[in-house]
Amino acid sequence: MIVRYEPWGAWVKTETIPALVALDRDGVRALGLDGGRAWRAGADATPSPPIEVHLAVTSRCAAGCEGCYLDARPDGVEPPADEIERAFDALAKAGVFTVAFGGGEPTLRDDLGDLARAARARGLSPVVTTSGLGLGARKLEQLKSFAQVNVSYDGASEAYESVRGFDGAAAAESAIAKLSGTGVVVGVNVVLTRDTFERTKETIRRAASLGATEVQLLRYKPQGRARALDYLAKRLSPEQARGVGPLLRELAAEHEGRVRIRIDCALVPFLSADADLASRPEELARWGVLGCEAGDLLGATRVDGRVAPCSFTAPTELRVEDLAKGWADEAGFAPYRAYSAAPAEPCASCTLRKVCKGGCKVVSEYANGTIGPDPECPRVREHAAGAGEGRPSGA
Amino acid sequence: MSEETVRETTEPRELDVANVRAVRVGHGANCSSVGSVIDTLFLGAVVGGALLAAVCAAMKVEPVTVVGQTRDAEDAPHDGGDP
Repeated sequence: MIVRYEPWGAWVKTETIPALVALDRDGVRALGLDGGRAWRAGADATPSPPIEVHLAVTSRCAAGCEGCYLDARPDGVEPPADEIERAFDALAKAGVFTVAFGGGEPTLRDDLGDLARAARARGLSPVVTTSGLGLGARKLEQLKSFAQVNVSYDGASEAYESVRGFDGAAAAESAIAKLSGTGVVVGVNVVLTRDTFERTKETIRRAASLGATEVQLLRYKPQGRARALDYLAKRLSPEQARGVGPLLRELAAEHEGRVRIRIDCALVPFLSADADLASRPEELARWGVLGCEAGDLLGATRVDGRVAPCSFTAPTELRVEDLAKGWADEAGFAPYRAYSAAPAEPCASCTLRKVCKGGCKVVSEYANGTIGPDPECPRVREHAAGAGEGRPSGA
Repeated sequence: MSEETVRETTEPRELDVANVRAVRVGHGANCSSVGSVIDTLFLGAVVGGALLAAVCAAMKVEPVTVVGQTRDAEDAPHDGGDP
């Protein structure tokens, strides 16, 4: 297992059961370990390095998805391998646990398997997202080097096309089956839009039948090519946003752990509409549910080596090779950290505040030109409409 | 990884699930936003308890590698207590 000391104890990454555990000081001592300097330095005020970094290994992609958050194109940039390996060195030095390969379409790189092994050699857990388009034997072999592979799959033909502008569902389904068949741990990324939301249960059943063992539900976000007027038509309706909690409950009951259900950070604010979940913030925290961790537990690196708070935000001046020494003080992270630490109402009084951290700042910046309460959060909507007055927090 | 120390654990360790502040299960593999397992919250205390116990059991036996800001070998004993 890999241990990274923190002022409160340590992050512990276990290998026999893939998990990342936040262990308190007594627990760390029980393992025969001592945080030493990290426990004495009054380091509470210093932001720790991220636990997970999303690394764009290419900005090339021929798929042309309408909503691509990076505006990836066929003539995009592919950094040389040695540059990416230097990025791995920097992530390892900082104590990052997981590196998520993205792009662009990572499988367009001929050296993808080598890069995954290079990440592993440095103690990092490499994972990757792919469209699954054109997944032949060679690419399949390369993907075996990853701890997990997620295929972008928004549902059967119409659902898929409604998100990406073309029907790549068959290719994605084929990729899921091939990956599963070769023993790769495979999950799917499902973007929730107004069109796909009602078909989510059907989509997950289909993915599970093909061998997917994990589903990550993603909120549609206004960035890249999705930062257009049709974002407003594609995003979840207010009623659907309120329905995320009940949907998750139904999915958990149906799949009973056989297919693991994940939500992305941007969906956490929608849980505020679920009275049961909103009353259980400690349990959410205990099970490691993370809201906006941009510039905190999460970072993202662009193909040019610049580090951003998350994949959807503009890059800062910090370069990945300087991550360990520059993460804490990079000014570009300050607005994200500041709002997460002290959000305005109605976030300030929300029971989920410490988990949610003020909702998706990419959405609030898109809607209002500044970081603030997530305007699509049901609780924020109620507050804005004046209906939030006097309501119990989180309800 | 750089700045690491590695050692094999040969002694049984006393670790309680109460020492676990949070656990994030699985790798996740999304490259654009951070994902969190959510269904554990609905699966009941038995499933959750078993998972926590399994993770604690793993921590008791797995070899240790320390990364990031490592403890200085000459550091004085810690000051104790949770923050």
